[in-house]
This record gives sequence, C-alpha cells and structure tokens, in this order.
Amino acid sequence: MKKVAIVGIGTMPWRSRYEDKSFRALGLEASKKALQHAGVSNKDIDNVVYSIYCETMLRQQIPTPLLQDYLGTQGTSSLRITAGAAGDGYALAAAYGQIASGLSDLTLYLAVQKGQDFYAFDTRSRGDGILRGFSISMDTTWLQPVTPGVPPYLTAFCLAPHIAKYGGPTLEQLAKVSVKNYKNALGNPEAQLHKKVTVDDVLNSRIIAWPTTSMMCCLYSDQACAFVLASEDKARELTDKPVWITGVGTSSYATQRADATTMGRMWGTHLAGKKAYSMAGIKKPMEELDLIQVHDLITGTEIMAYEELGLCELGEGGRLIDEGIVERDGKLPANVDGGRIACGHVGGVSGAYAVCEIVRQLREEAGADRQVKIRNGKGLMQCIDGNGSLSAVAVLERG
Amino acid sequence: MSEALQDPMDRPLEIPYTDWKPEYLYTLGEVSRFFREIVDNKKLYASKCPKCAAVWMPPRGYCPDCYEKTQWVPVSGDGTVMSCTYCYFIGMGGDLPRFLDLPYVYALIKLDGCDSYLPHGVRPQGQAMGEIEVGTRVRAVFRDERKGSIADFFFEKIADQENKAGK
Repeated sequence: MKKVAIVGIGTMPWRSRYEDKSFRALGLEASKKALQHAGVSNKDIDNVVYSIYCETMLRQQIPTPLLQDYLGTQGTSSLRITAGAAGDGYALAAAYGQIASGLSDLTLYLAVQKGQDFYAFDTRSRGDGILRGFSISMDTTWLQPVTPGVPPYLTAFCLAPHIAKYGGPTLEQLAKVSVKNYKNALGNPEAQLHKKVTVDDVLNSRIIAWPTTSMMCCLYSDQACAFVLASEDKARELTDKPVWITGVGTSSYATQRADATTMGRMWGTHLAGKKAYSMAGIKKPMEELDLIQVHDLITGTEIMAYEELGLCELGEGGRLIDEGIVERDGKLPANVDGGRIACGHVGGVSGAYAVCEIVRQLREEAGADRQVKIRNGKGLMQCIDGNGSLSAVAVLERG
Repeated sequence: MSEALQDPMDRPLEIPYTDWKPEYLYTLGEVSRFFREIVDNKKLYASKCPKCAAVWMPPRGYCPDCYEKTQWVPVSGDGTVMSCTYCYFIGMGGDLPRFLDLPYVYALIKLDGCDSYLPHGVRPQGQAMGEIEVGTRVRAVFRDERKGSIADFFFEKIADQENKAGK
C-alpha cells in the first residue's frame, strides 16, 4: 500500500447553530480553508470523500451531488460514508484506502452536518425537535420506542456496568474529565463554550442519567471540517510538514445484542485500536503517543476509551485523570481542544475535528495557548457511535 | 464589525418545513408473532436457535451465530436487572412519555430463560435512587392500549407488585 498524508486542514468555529449558513456554505468554507492550507485548488482534487451522518437532519437525501456542484469539484470521483458518530473515522479509513490503493492522488475529505434545524412545532422547542428527529438513529423496532436518548443509553450499556464490574471510574473522576475539557477549551478560540468550571459545578449540574450529569455530556452543534489527503509523491511536493496516516482501524461490535460479554465494554474501540496499533507499529501507546483525541460524548466514554485503547488496565482509567496524565501538560494529553464536552459535537464531524486538531498539534501550529509538547510526533484519534457499536481509531505521525 | 454593517435584507430567514412527514405502514416481518402475542394475549415470546439453543431477547428470526431459523418459546416476563441508570430526562422520539414519569429507570433486563438482555424502562414506585438496582427482580406489565410496539409493556419491581396485590 502507498503512504498517505494529510497536507492541509480546515475547521469552522464550533457553534450551536449557523443560522447564516446552509450545509453547502458550511462545507465550502471548511473546504476552502483546507485547500488553502494545503496550497492547492479545488481543480487539483481528483476525489472527494464525504462524512455526512444524517440526511433527515440536513433535510436532504443524496446530498453529495449538491455538494460536488457547490464545491466546484464536478467530474471527480466521490464517496459518502455514514456510520453514525463514528462516520468521520470510517470516512478517514475510506479516504486512506482510496489513496493507498492508488485510486486517488489528491483527495478532499469533507465532514459536514447541520444538527440544529429540527424544530417541534407542538412544543415550540428546537431541543424537542432535535431529540425527536435524532431518535430514529436508534434501532427503531427494539430501542427507540423505549430509549430516552444517547447519554442514558451509553450510561446503561457501557458506563454503569463498567463501574459495577471494574469498580471505576468514580463520580469525582467523571467530573474531573469535564473540568479538564472545559479548561482545555479556554485555549481554543473555536470552542463553543469558554467557561471555567469546578468539580462541584459538574456534580451539581442536572442529572441526565445517573451518574452522568448534564455537564458530563457533550454539546450539540453545527460544524464542518475538511482536510486534504495526498499520496507520498504529491505530499512531498506540497509540504515539508506532512502528517502521515500510519494506522487505521474500524470495528463494528454488537448493536442490539446486550449480554455479559458486551455490557460495560467498548469492544469495537478495543479491536479497532489493536488494528490501528498493529498497522502503525505501536507497542506501548502510553510511551509512544504525544496526544489522544477520544470520544467524550459523555465523560464516562472518555475514561473507558483510555482503558480500551490499552493506556491502562480496565477500571483504572480514572487514575489517568487523578494523576494529571491526561491534562494538557501531562504525559499524554487527551482532548486538548476541549473535546465534545466544551468544543461541541455533531455526528460524523467531531472525529474529523479531532483529526484536524492532531494535525495542528503535530505540526506545532496549535498556538501558545494549547500547543502540547511533541516528543515522538504521534497522535491518536478514536470515535464511536451510540453505545460503541461502531468504532474507529487512527494513528497520525509527522515526518 | 461586518455583522453590524449587515444589510437587514441579508439576515438569515427561517421558514417552517413541514411538507415532508414520513409516514409508514411497515411490516414487522419475521418477528410479527412477538408483537401479535403482546397485542392479543399479553404474552412475551423469545426466540431459540434449534442448533446452539441460545435464547434471544429481543427475539430475532435467525440465530446470528448459526444462521438457523429460530423457534418461538414462551417466557414468563419475569427477569433480573443486569444494569440500570436513573433517568431525569426524556427523549421526545419514542413512546416513553406514554407511560413513564421522571425519574424512571432505563435498564438491561435478563428475562428468565433468555441469554441476551432486553433494554427497557422500569417504573420505580418512589423518587429515591437505589430502589431499582442490579439484581432487582422485575416483571413485565402490559399497557391497556397496545399497538404492536416494544413500548406496549414496561417493567415494575416484583415485590412492589405483590405488595400491591396483597393490599
């Protein structure tokens, strides 16, 4: 397989809602930034890979021809990936494959999603409209009629049985992850919230699904992120700061099936992580990685990701936050941009933002307020859908 | 700055879009019997693989391990909570608001005789957390109004029901 590099990135500031931009405009603005950063034009691109999670949210089925037109990339090949909130990771694996196989030399990757256009006219609430519209993401026969939403679902399937089985994380550790991510967001001008919070603030915020409180849950947003992927020859021609994709792994594990084996674990992340590590030749992730961007849909899944990715033993993830290891100035910073908790989240895009953040950090372009120390030049992103039924992990490396 | 100078005619215009409301008359296909037994007889059935003997709940038409067509087996509706969370938030999408008040418990329930766990709602008697926990015995309670949905029933703690019956 041919080597694949990311040679340019473009992100938009996280906002709860872009009233002034359609999904096409959001997509174009992110693409424009990525193309400029890479020093190429839309006419140099030979392939576009889209991560677009949800058509009903966009109010548009088959959105990619519309985007191809808007982006001025007609005539190129294109591919759309949708895999829930892990779709951005799956799309990265697909884009990687297109270049590694020789099908493309220069691919534009665009993740875009409007998340906030739903509206419930009966209760005059946008929030109700979003929850209602979003709910058909769940298994509509067996889950959706009785499942209150993703945070309770993740808590019941993953976090609560994890705590019961392995004795951790504690409530305080769950809150400390929020405090860390809110603090990290203070250094990121693109974050949706800039607010200093304490462990007490997080613990005293509204209970959503015990032990998960509202401030342990991610924000919800409109967002678009783009990057340009290039084959080795192309990458060397374009930049002296390529960031290589050295490992990709995806794993789909258990959706409807809940039993003693699946409960309390994110097996998909464990398996996708193993694939990505093996491909990237990583044996001791805690020693070799400089930063990680993991899926903090709720803080419980951030801590579980530490464990499933082999950074510590099962049940010990809370120790990494207690000991400051995952703080920005710690040995292995996690979600240095503020993560989904304080930056924002929307399915299919937040993982792409994580990739862009790793690229920024590895190129040492993150700015004084949040640049972490780069020792080995390696970063990892992980994203999940729902209860971890779809997982993607990627390892990026500068050089 | 540029926003302050924006021409009012360029302000974002929001309009309702309610023309497309998906409506379905859909088939429950190979699991039709599960829902028909709920609607007609207030009975729960699981599906058993004739080859490996695994009993699936939620039921499925085929065993995912053996690809054999499963067989229907009746279950009592009694089970044990394997995992749960107290919810103080209700999604608007499903049927939950039809039968549960806050707080309620979202749980994974192992029905007696089944190998996999059913995610479902448990209605606690009181407001205090801890009444429903891992290991609590629960029983399916069927709603009067049933339409062929997994929300046609919910769960209650068995002891509570028996206390009520004893009054």
